[in-house]
Amino acid sequence: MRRAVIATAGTVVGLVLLLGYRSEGAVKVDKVDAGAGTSSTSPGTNTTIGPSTNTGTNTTIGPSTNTGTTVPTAASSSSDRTYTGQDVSYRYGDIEVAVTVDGSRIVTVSVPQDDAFSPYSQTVNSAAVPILVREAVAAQGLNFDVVSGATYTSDAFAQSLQSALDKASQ
Amino acid sequence: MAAAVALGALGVMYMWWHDTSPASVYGPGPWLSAAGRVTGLLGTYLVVIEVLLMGRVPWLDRMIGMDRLAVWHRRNGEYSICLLVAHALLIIWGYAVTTHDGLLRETKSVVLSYPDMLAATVGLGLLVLVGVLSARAVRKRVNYHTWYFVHLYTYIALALSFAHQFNTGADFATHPLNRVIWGAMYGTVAALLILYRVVTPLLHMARHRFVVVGTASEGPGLTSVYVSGRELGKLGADAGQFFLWRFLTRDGWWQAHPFSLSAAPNGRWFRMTVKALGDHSSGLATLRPGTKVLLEGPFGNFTTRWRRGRKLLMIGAGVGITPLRAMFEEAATASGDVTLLYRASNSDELGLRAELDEIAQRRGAKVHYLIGPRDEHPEYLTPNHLQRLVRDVVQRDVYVCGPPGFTATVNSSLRALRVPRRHVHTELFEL
Repeated sequence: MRRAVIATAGTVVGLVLLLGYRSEGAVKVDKVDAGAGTSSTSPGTNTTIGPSTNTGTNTTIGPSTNTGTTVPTAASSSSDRTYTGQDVSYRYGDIEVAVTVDGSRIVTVSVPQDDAFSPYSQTVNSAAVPILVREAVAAQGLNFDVVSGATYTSDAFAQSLQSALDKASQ
Repeated sequence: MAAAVALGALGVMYMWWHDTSPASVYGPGPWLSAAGRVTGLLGTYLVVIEVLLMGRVPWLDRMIGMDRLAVWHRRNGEYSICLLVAHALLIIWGYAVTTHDGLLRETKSVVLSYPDMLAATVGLGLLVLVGVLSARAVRKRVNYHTWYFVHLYTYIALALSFAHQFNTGADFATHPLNRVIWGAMYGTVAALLILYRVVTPLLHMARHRFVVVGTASEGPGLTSVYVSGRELGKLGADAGQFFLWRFLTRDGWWQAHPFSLSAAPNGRWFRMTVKALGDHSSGLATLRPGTKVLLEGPFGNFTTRWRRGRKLLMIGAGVGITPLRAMFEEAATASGDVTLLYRASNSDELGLRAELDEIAQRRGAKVHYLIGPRDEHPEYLTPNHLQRLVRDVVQRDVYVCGPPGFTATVNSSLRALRVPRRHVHTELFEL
């Protein structure tokens, strides 16, 4: 009985310390990475995005938008054309990405279709998709990182975006 | 070994640490599911260790001893199953907090909509069943047959829960290196199990052709079984060690039981002596000569190889007398300076007495019988009494074997007499 108490207490304390220490790191990273807020991009791989692009667009992103997230970076003009990528199925659902381009410049990225089949995946996507959209616009293409905790969504997003860009370049 | 297991656990923790971005542990929901991930990784690692502990691996036996491995197996088993239950509950709870769904709804969603989760859920259920049936209070009421076959479900549980780790596990789904490491861990343990639980026993059987040559009654309820074979000396068995005996009869082939050698190995036959307790041990009296036997072993560190000095004292009770009987014979033949104390509550329970007397007489060794109910003779195992029986007890290597309470009493008396700890050798009977 005494052993059980010690084992349980030890495990709980260990877990709390481990997690506490791990998430304490998040606060530090957030300070450095001003403007990233609660984004779930991993700090070590943040370099391709850059804090400067994040800051301006941060306020427009909220977890409440689930579909149709767009990030305009400039006023649209008459030369804009929108291409819709393939609907890509992944492990937890399917996603479709559309891209609006002006010549070779990516003006907006939107997600007309974002179906995740479990409530948990929906929640994860509602946080991750806006980040992906923002990253894609900032990177002007596919050179952005996966959102940790939403790896499959990120991959499917990238695939669909790729097919949209392919159409645009034809 | 404990250090190696702890080191491995640290490695597992590092894997989690390395793959978890600090930003993903944010808020109560992710906190809970992150805790669930840690307990899942650790629990799985310990369950794999759990299987290895009972893998009959010879070097583990030499390092730690099967008796202690069995004790570890029990404790680690309790702990790892608790961790895995916590894993499931914490993940679901964490997800439910994140999605603001009810626990039931979230459970349904996690179990039914994620890949391989249904199988993993069944696997966890089986593990819990194994754990419940092994809990001391339940184990006493369940017959060996049921307990044994349910225990085999562990392998099914491991197989069923394997896929969900790679297909949904955050630390594996997108980390090929982790998958390789984790797969190697499973693979190594599986290979060791196949080697030592299947291949080695079959090779030994093919080489040594173990066969029952006879049985003998050794007194009320006490039966000896003699097993012979070819080149028995090559097995390198020592007095005090035990084998797992699997008699290939129609009803008994599936079960292997540990029994100590009750006579010093002589190259011609092995002997075990059992008291009729369960169905299995009472059935042994009816074994026919010619019955084939699968012997696994020898196992155990309870041998005179680990003695520090020349003079020996053996203290035994109950079934604990069987390995001591073999060691007494061997030691008396070799050096002669050996004393045996045999504790029994009445003289009917003194198995093998005639043999012990004969060995003592021929080789000039000493045997003392301490007979009588415990409440009438509380003094038998006290330091004073032991000192009086064996004046030079402090200078002897002491071998103790018997029921747990008996062993504890003797050990505390030996400590009181200031017998150096490394001179005291005990075999734990706590299976």
